[in-house]
Amino acid sequence: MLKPYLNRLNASLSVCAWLLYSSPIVAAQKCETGIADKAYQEVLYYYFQHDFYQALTQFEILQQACPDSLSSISQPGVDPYLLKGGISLAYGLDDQAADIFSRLLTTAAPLETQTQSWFLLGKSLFEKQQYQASANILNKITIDNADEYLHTLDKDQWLYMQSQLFNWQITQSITAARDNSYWLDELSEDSVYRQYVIYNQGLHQLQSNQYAEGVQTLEQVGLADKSFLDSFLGGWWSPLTVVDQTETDALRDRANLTIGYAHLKNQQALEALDAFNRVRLGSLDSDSALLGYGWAAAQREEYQIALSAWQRLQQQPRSNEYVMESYLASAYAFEQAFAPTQALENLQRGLQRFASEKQMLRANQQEINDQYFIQLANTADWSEQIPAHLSSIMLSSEFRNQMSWLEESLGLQSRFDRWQQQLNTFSLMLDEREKEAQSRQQTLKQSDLLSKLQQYQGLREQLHTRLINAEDEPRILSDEQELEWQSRLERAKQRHKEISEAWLRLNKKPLKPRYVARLKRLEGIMLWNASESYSTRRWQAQKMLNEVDELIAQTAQQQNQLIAQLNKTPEYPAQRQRIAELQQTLELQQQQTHRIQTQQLASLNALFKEQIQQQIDQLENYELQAQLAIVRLNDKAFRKAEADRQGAKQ
Amino acid sequence: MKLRTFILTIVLCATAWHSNAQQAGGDEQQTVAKQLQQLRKEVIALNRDLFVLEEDLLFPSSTQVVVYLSVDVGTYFKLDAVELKIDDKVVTEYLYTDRQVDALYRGGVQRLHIGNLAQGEHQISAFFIGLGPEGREYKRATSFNFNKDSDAKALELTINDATGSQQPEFNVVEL
Repeated sequence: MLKPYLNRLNASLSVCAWLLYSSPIVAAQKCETGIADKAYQEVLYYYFQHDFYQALTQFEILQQACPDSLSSISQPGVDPYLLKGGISLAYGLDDQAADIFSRLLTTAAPLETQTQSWFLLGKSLFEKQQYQASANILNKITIDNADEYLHTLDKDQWLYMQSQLFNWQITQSITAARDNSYWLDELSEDSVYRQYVIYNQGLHQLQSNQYAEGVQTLEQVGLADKSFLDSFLGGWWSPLTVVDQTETDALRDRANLTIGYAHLKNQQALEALDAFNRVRLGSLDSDSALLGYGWAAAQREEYQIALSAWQRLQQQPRSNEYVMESYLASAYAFEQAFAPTQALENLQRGLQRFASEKQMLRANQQEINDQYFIQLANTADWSEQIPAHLSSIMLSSEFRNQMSWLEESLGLQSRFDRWQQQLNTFSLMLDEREKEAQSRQQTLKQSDLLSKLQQYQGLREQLHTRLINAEDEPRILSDEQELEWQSRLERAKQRHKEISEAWLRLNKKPLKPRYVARLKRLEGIMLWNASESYSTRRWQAQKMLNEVDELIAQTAQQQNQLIAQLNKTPEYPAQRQRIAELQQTLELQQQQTHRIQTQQLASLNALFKEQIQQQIDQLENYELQAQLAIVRLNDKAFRKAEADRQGAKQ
Repeated sequence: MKLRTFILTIVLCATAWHSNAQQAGGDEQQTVAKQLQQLRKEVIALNRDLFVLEEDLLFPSSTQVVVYLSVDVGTYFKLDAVELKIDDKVVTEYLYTDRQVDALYRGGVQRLHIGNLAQGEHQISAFFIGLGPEGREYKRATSFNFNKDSDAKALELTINDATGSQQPEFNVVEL
């Protein structure tokens, strides 16, 4: 009977407790190994997806909650500090990464951790072009340790950096030359770094005037054939293979281009033609190769071939020095082929193209402003949307680098805006919760919910007393049917009594005793039945009473919690303070981002204008050359005409 | 002689100015890169604080329940999706990308769900959809009863390989 009421009261108290004080409660941070391990595995989940931002955030959360937890991580694999350093490096927090690695190296870390730390620290310095420091660090790794403790890809990268640092040290005369075959022997068979090492060696030899050796080295890259499967299947079975192949192909093109120009410089036109021919059309080096091809043909006095290469270049919408130079080169070829009129026409066309390019560049110089760069940075794949005549400027590594910084700071700005809105929402949510809590508190007071438990406890006591009394009077535990029968029996007894008295008052003979006997018999049966089912009913009643006791205990506990919460100082001010602090930090960072963005845009504008100016200067230089050539051709024609006239006179 | 000296001075000055200008440009870029690096660091710290604040506000420990998902080995099951129910109410439906599945196979653990629950008895059910042994479509469910008290509750759904039966095993464990 009491149970439904108690259940309802229990539920009301739970809801009240949650609604009243579901405000932020700073949980006592659990830093047991199991929990820390789980948090660390969450870091791994993001890390393996290359989501370095989330991975670092999770690292920070873990370290803020449990400052020393990283030392006690029981997960197998890489040292957690090393992982954090690696992730920091990948996310562009080079200084933080360097700090972590340096700290790791000053502690008595295992050799594996040390080797990996040297590698990552050296790589970080290498990328920052601090070559001497990088060489010092990377030299601390022995080839045996690299074999043992670095992954194949990392080991290959270590070997590549070592080879580059050796070349750099040779140019700085810090160390004696070392045969590249050492690096090539150590690099894995299919490593892409193998090609880079060879290419860089070849280039280095050419720069040191070792023409034959340089070409021979470069040909190891330039003449490397695609495998039969690659040529036949085109790498369709694996996107990864396609990516690798693209890089290898680009490197092969660059090697052939370098070989071509080396031959050209050394008057080996036939070999140069062969090398330029190996550069794929449509590759990054195709324009340069076409120009070189033309010059190699011209060197062999095969002007028709040279002209066809250069005419092809002139048709390109791109605006780079190779395309522009092709006009001057074509004029030269026509002149050499005794076609001065075509040479002049070609120069005139060149002048028109230079002028139109200059005009477009000047217009861009005037029109392009901060808004243009912001819009461009907000466009996905912006490099595919730029005008053809700006391609050489906008695809330069310096420009792309600055654009990627701008993209990042714009991304940060929109993230800050989102966070600002989120904090405003939290603030509103706290207002609402506080209001709701106050109204609940009011309702609690008005409904006197807390005193109801006492009433129910009183009722429970009454039930308990009745249960004790039932030992003497089993009929107390009767069911509804029996109670009805009992009341009917009582009514029958009362009626019998009234009839007997009325009968006596009328001086009639008393009623027959069988009526009394029947009533007594019925009473006896009912008493018998009650006694028979007493033990079962007693047990059921006791069980129900125990359940009620349990519910009362639970409710009392809930009520105590609620009272404790009611007596507790509200945490809203503390939470509001946290929100306000975060809002303040956010505002500061927004200002900082804005400052950086202004700097970035100024720098981009300056770079853009400088490069446009350089290109205009270059075009003016071409114009000057073209005009000089026209004057020279006209002069030559005039002299020839003069000579002809003189000859005719004689 | 004077003219030559003058021209030489001009050339030297111009060279020095050019080199200084280049140096200044490089320094400026270096500064922007450094500032960006510092900003990145601060953004991570801010994200951490926001994350913790959000959790404190929306999922206080007294009502918080977190469900993690982990995969051990994964030879007999390739995870495609998970549906999570608490007390017969769908709380999360999650579709996995290849990269996420790979991260799970390599030892990462995903926080699949975080929510609020009143104190008392509850039931959690998870339905796993994917490819089972021999690439067959596979759908399995597991359920678990738990008691939520005043502390934050953490549960983990685990997918293990049962080598004996050559079948995947799905379990729920309390952390």
